[in-house]
Amino acid sequence: MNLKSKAKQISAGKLSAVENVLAFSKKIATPKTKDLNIFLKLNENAISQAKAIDKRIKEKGDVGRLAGLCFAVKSNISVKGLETNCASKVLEGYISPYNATVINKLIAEDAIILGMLNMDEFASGASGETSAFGPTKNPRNPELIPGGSSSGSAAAVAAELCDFAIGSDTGGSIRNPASHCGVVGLKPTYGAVSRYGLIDLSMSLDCVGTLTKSPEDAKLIFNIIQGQDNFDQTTNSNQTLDLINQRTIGSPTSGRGRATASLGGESNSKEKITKRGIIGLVDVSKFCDKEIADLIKTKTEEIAKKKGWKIKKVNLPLDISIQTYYILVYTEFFSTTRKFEGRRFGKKIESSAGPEVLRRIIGGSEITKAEHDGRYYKEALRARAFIKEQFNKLFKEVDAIILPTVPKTAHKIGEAISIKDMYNYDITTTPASIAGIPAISVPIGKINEKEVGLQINTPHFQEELMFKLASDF
Amino acid sequence: MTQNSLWHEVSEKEKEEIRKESKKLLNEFASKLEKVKAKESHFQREDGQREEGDGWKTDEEFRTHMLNNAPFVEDDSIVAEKGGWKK
Repeated sequence: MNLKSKAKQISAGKLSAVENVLAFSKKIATPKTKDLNIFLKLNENAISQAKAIDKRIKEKGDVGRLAGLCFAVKSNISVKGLETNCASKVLEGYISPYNATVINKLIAEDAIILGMLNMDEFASGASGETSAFGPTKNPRNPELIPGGSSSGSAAAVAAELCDFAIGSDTGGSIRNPASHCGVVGLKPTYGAVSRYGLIDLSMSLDCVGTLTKSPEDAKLIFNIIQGQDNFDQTTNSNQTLDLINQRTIGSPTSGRGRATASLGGESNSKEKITKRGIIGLVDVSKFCDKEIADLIKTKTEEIAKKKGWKIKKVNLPLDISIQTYYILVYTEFFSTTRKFEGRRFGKKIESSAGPEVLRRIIGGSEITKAEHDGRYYKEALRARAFIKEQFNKLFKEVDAIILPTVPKTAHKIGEAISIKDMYNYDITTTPASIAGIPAISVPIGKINEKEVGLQINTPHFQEELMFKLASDF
Repeated sequence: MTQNSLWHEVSEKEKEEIRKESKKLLNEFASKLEKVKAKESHFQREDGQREEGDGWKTDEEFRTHMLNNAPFVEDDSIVAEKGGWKK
């Protein structure tokens, strides 16, 4: 059952919000689930909140579009009254005094928070292993990493411990765990969803997004959380999409912000502005396991044949993307962590963080020294402009781009791996992050019993086209 | 150098190794980016400036949480010793 249908059932009184919360709570409390180390903190008020929603339904009062649905939140997104610790000892015991904008939007639609989820410490990791409270295990195979950094968010959806989860994606942190856990992970266009209340990793790249069972569910939640926010100046009202009614709100400029859904097959969109019907399939042969590349190619060809798309082989500067990404992240992360000095809240970050967080802080402090002015960060900004330009050129020829979400399948938890190899997990997800375009990962099969995700990128604010394509898989 | 990614407390010696390793890695990345031919660019929005409105108002709970989160509190104030973060 999809989320829309479940919410309808609850609103119609066929399933109560309390029953929904209890069903998940029971599952979360089992020893098998606890061993997966998915939740860090639970919301003790979930039942009373569900009772209030049920009461309103019984009294025929107004309820929101997500009435009674249960969600869980990555521990770097502020939820008032709950511990928002970024899976770090630095913020252990820190209770958020306010809600992130996305949380306010979901609560306004009567969704219920079940709790806060495990993650890589300060979102610094691609495996789910760097949490100071122990690694998250992959529900599909607990010996394997779930991916990261939104490890708990993907694992919670895969283990069916909530209806949907919220995560953050800087260079692949939603898409990567979605791929390893066999769920759908959405990174929206940069600026489509407010970052207010997100404890940032890298402010010019961070996006708040969703983990769900299907692209249809992702679309429902995205439509609720997206939109302009006065507390985040990178959001923009003129590019706000109303995906439920399939139209654009405001006056789109330069063709951006238009709902687009015209790649073969039927479309219920009022506007049809993309006519090419061509998909770009990225050549990943130098950077990706052959079996994964072959699976992506086979699946894309299969769907293309069915839907009448043409496939064009394209190239992206994947190696440059990873180099650019890490210089941007080290610099911006060093800058943002200056607030963790242990006076107003938490502990001093340099004294309490784990190795990966320290690597980024120490590296960031080195490359931002005055003597390096004009190098590192500025070089990365120039490379960023180059990568954006490559996408602009590609999107003149193709409607969307397909590539693997992760170049390798999941390794075993605790397995020794070089820093460079670990960073290379992000090689196929960082290009979209650097360009600020939307991206989605959908599960497409398994290799050696390990989940594999396929990633779709579309131009800025063309989430509608992306959802359409994703549902074809 | 290969290692597992599991969290652990970091010694001063390990911090020094991390410093050397990260510098080496970033230099390697930067030297490759030097070869990329592109101009630094900035995004300029055509419109979409925010309306100021009334701003954000804190509530009593916000104040309570902030004081509870602080390591040192005296009466109604957070104690932030000058230079204390350097220790």
